[in-house]
Amino acid sequence: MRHKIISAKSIKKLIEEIDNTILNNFTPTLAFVYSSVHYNITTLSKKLKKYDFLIVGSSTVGEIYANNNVTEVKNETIACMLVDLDKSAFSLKVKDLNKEEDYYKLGTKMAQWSKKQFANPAILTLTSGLHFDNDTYLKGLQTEVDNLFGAVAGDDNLFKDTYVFSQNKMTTFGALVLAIDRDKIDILSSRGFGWSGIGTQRIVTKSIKNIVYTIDDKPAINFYKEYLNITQDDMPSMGANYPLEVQLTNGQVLYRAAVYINQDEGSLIFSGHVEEGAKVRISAPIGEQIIDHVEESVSMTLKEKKDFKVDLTLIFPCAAHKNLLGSYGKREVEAVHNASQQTPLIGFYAYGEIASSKESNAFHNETFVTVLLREKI
Amino acid sequence: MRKKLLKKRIQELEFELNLLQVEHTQLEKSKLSTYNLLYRVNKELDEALANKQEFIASMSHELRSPLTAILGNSSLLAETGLTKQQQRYLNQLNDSAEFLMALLADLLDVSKLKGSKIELNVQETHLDKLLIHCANMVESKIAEDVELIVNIPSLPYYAFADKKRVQQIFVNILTNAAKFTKKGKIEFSLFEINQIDDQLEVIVTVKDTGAGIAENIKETLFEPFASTDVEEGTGLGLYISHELAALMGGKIEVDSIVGEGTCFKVTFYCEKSSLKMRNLTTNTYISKEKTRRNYEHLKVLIVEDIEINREFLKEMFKVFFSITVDMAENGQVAVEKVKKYSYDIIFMDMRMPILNGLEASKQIRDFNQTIPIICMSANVYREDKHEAQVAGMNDFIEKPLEHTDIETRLAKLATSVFREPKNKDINRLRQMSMQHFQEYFDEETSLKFISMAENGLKSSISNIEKNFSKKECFSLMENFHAIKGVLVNLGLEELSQTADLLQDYAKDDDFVNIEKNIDLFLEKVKEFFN
Repeated sequence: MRHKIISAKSIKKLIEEIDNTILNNFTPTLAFVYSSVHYNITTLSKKLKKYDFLIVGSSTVGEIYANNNVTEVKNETIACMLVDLDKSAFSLKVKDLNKEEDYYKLGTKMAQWSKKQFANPAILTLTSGLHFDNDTYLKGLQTEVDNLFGAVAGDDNLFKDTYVFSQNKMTTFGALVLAIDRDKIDILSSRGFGWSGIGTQRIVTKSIKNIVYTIDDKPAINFYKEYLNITQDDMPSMGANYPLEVQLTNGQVLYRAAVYINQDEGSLIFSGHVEEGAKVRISAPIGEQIIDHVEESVSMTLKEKKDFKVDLTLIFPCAAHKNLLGSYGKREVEAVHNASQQTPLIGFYAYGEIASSKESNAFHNETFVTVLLREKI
Repeated sequence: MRKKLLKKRIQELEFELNLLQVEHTQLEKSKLSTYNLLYRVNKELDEALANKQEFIASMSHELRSPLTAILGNSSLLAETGLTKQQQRYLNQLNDSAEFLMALLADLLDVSKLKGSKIELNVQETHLDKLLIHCANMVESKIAEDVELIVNIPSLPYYAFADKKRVQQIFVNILTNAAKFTKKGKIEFSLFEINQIDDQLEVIVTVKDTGAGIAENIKETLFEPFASTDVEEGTGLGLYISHELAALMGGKIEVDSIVGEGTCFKVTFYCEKSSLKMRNLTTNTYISKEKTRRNYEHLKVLIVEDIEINREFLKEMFKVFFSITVDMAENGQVAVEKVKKYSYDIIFMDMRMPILNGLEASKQIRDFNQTIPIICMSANVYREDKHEAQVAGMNDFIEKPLEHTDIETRLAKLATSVFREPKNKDINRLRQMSMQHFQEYFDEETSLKFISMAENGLKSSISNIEKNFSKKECFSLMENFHAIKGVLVNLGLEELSQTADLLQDYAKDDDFVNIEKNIDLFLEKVKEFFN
């Protein structure tokens, strides 16, 4: 697989670099374009219209790339990777959430479309919209396709508008799906944690989707206030630093960041669903060891598939990793780059991560999702 | 001059920036170290708590053995023609020992609940009868001036529930109501039952006209050691009930007015059985059989390392079943005895010095695949049951052994339930199913049922194989549940227990353990078609 990584500080510069690459006898089939909302994403999407290769685009909370031992974690840039993977192995669709459509239906439609493209598809999906119900959308996708990964677009922690786009379409409330033919591309994915539950486990006694009303029959707000004495002014950063560790009734453990406090109702609004009956406790980061955990998640995955020669690495870390690690964030990406055979890597810090394999729930917060792709010969 | 000043200022600013950058890096490092500190301390506290729970569990276990002997021997002593005065002393002794045993059982439960180690043992249950049984158990504890009103309608179907744990919830709450209600009434009602697909939402209320619960106590009512009664009671019952209801996906709500009374509303979930009005419960089965069975002729080997327990079991078999048992003090002696003599059944302790019950069973299975081996253990964690099954044991009894525990196994022996060969490939599954069905139906109907179940088995096997290759734990969970139902209907108890275990593994996304056990399980199930 040939590739070219571009890091640009203007849309114009990006287009120039892409054009130059093409002029130098490189014909990309697929591009990943991850941009800060510092740039006008509508203009960016329009400027990309002239290219005939598939474009997977998203707004970010920080852009990441690595190659040949060079690792970069950037802010307010546009990161782009052009690759020439087998064109027939990919198909792309961007869709707004129509008013008459629900999230689940959007998911099932996208999954059915993917199944029409390939008999055995995997899906890379990126979603936009701060209030987009990723849990329900992913449940819809899971009706037809079990191998899912991707992320939720970010906007530099401004929490206003997020975007996913290709050259033909852009949406601030919808989803992009890149269907991948698994008969032509091998895929491995891993998910690293970095947070750990502390304190006493309690039970969610009333919740509807992502709103938790009561924990142990007491207003949910009390639970967070007892530990952190937070107010709405501290959200969502405090919520992301100290997410809820949720043990679902099926035993699966996941993390959910509180994003909003409803003082009147005494409820907490989370970035994903929190099941009623789930056991919960507050969690905190485990410190610098996060880097080891994430690195280990990738190396363990590759250890299980000994002959897997990686062509391309896609990463989707939670923005909370960036906020927590600061300048150490680069070391985290370096560790993953080394663990993934130092292959070309691109990704972005996101507001949510998507990964499903054995687990029944695909939407996550606070994690670091790594996807390893290999072209079948 | 101006240029020089400007240059100097730039140098100063660069120096300050460098200092700020160093400070920023130090702060970042310090923040991460603080998180690391928090993580380590939390981990140490978790470990300390786990050790404490382990200690409580282990002490409760150790104390139960001698207490079992006290209780057992006192019941034997009661049969020896005592004077009234002796009988009174014995009753007091018995009451105290029983209280102590209940306390230890509660402590063990609390320890297991805290460590998330309680495993629901779900089986087909007549829910209405079970609830009525709870009321009957508590009736004697209710004051004379208090009327017990039981509103439990008959249910036309069975439910999959953990009898012991459901009973524990309601006996605790009813006992509590009995304790605090001196006059008036206690109403025990099946308030509501809702069906959502195959799932049943069961809501039961216990309403009393007792003293009521003060607001300050209400807040900590479901916390361990927070007894509503400051003078007696451990305060563990309501905590255990609350946690058990949560384990069943439900909850307990309380509504109380001081001086007027209290209402506990218990909600729990269980699955509705597809079987209608067919009697599969062991207790009913025994009560039907016990009047006419004679066990005198049976040759029983008891393997138990603690002498006092051995003696108690020996007496229990003699007094209740007229059986003179043979005994072994450890697994090694047991293996030698089984090689030398012929026994009908072995009751084997799990943990013993020299050679434990698991190893001894494995060794016995090398030369004898048919003799029923019943595991006796105070540890009833899922792992223990699984280990016992893997070692070739046929059944599992929780210590301390009760009269009915033993009788159930002897009755099974008498009706050939244990004749399924262990670890060897003699196929008698069909005969077992036939025997099972013929207990209820004629030959023709039995054959029809077996043929119907055969199709269900085939389709379940194919689904399991398909989803196993895809590592689809969620679908496997449903497949194991389905095949478990078919195996129960066929009367293949052990295989259905393995399916239940595999279902649990699938539920926990534990593919490693599924992988370990699935081949042997499918191989055994397929023997049905040989």
